[in-house]
Amino acid sequence: MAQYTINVNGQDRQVDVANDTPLLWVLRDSLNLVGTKYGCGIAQCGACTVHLDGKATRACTTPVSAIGSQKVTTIEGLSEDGSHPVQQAWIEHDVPQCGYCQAGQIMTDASLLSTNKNPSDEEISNAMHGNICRCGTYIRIKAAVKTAAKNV
Amino acid sequence: MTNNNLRSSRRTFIKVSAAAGGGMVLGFNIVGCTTEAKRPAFVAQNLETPDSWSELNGFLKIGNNGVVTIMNPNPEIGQNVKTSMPMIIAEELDVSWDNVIVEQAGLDTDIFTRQLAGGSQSIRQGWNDLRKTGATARHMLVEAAAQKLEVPASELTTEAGVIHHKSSGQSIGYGEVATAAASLEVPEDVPLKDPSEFTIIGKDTRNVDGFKIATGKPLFGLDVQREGMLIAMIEHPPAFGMKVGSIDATAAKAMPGIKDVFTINVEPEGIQKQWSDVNAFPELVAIVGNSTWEVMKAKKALKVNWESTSDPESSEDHERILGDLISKAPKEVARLDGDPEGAFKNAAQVIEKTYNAPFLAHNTLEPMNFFAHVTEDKAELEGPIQTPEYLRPTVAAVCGLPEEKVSIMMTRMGGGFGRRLYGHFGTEAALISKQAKAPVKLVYTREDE
Repeated sequence: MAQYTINVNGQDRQVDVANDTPLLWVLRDSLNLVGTKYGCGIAQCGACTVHLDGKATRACTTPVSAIGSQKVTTIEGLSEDGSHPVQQAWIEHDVPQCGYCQAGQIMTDASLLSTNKNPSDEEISNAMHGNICRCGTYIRIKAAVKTAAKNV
Repeated sequence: MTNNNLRSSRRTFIKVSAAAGGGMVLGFNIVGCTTEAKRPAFVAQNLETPDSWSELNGFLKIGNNGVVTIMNPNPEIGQNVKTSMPMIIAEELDVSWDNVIVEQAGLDTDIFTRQLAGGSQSIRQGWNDLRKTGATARHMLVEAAAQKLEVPASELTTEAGVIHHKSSGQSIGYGEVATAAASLEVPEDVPLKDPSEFTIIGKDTRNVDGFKIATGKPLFGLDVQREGMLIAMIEHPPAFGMKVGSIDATAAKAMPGIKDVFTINVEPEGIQKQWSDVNAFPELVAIVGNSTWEVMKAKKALKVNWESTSDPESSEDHERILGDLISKAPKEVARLDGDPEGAFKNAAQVIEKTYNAPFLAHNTLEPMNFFAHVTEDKAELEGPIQTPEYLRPTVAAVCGLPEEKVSIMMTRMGGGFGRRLYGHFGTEAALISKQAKAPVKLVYTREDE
């Protein structure tokens, strides 16, 4: 076990975990931030997507020891009140069916739109293709990405 | 001019619709005719908490301020019953959907019937009862209002949670008569609305959990957290036709955070199996510890010798067996439209192709999991299950408890697709909790699927 101080959603948080503990389980088990989801554990489904310094990253394969001073943002910290344009677009388009993958989808889209405010269809597909939705809400996801792009 | 005024009043109108399809306030604030429409703003549901609630039946309660709580009886797997079933009650109750809080019900067979997600039947099977539930409550509220206003009930009408007496101009909110209504005798047969009067059913309504999903609130089985809760994982044989042989748990038990390693059997002798007790591996190794990552690591350090109980099954076997079954099965025409034989005969070209699909996992994105806290005299379970009514007797049997001492709360499910009809993971969680003498959340890895 080792002590780590990581910045999560703007706050320095101390955790005492093994150095190979994935950020996903630090968030979920140590910090009770359960919005970030476990789907596969091998960076194949995207349900665990968070931001490291604003960039979409798979929390399930990022060990806590690799975070250092990078700022971690989770779905709970994307906005204080759900007002982020991507969250708003997701609600407006009523994207989720079961909803389990959607935090990861939202985080990937928020990262995309932070660097590309007017993504083409191809750029959207390229950015979002690593986030699996088993219910198949891809059409609504794409529509929500486009709505969000107009409002970031 | 009249038309212009109408448009103007509509456009400047600020609508606060609290539960707009989902525990959120939908605010339109569109000023003037020439400006671009602002996007609607969605915020968390923020209805005023009433001082007191009156429960009219197991499905709904009404606050003294008119706020209504409606229970969703069935498991939510993404088919949206948590929104649509309460909508049906709200319709016949004749309340404003904006004024409704939706809560998930637990398993309660005294109040609810068919608490099951499967066969696309929730609405079809629930339709009549849900409508009657809402209509009966409305009838009782009207009756209570008639007594209070000292007018015949037949002269009263309802609209959006308010009871009107047109001839005297009096109005009374549901919240003001809810307590009196709750003490009235429940009427047998009450009239239902004519579908032409529907204002909620048939209207595009957002998911009641939409805001919570978009903001990462805990909703799913895997999100359940309790004081003193341990994490459990299982190790099952690598192939069908194998079972647990000898176990070497020395290394696993010595790892940090690990509490215990033991075997469980969800099908002990003498247990009557139900249709939902389908499980390739009734005997499993359970690893229990403090946190998910510690247990995951110990699971990998575990050494188990698996014994063959039959020749291992292969995909080829499955295809052969399936092929045999299909070729031998009696064939009947389920539906015949037009003249396909004639169409094939007269076609310029006929393309024939056979497609096969292998045995596939359902791959719900949320891996199987369940919370259980089993003590000497009761079992409390919570998790994602399509068939809570069938899980309960099995848990009661394997834990040696009467059924009424087993409670099951359903969480939102990260996909079901039929996989969660078979609730062995709930039974496993209960047995692990019983053995570990602690509240436990069982978590499958993706590979365990």
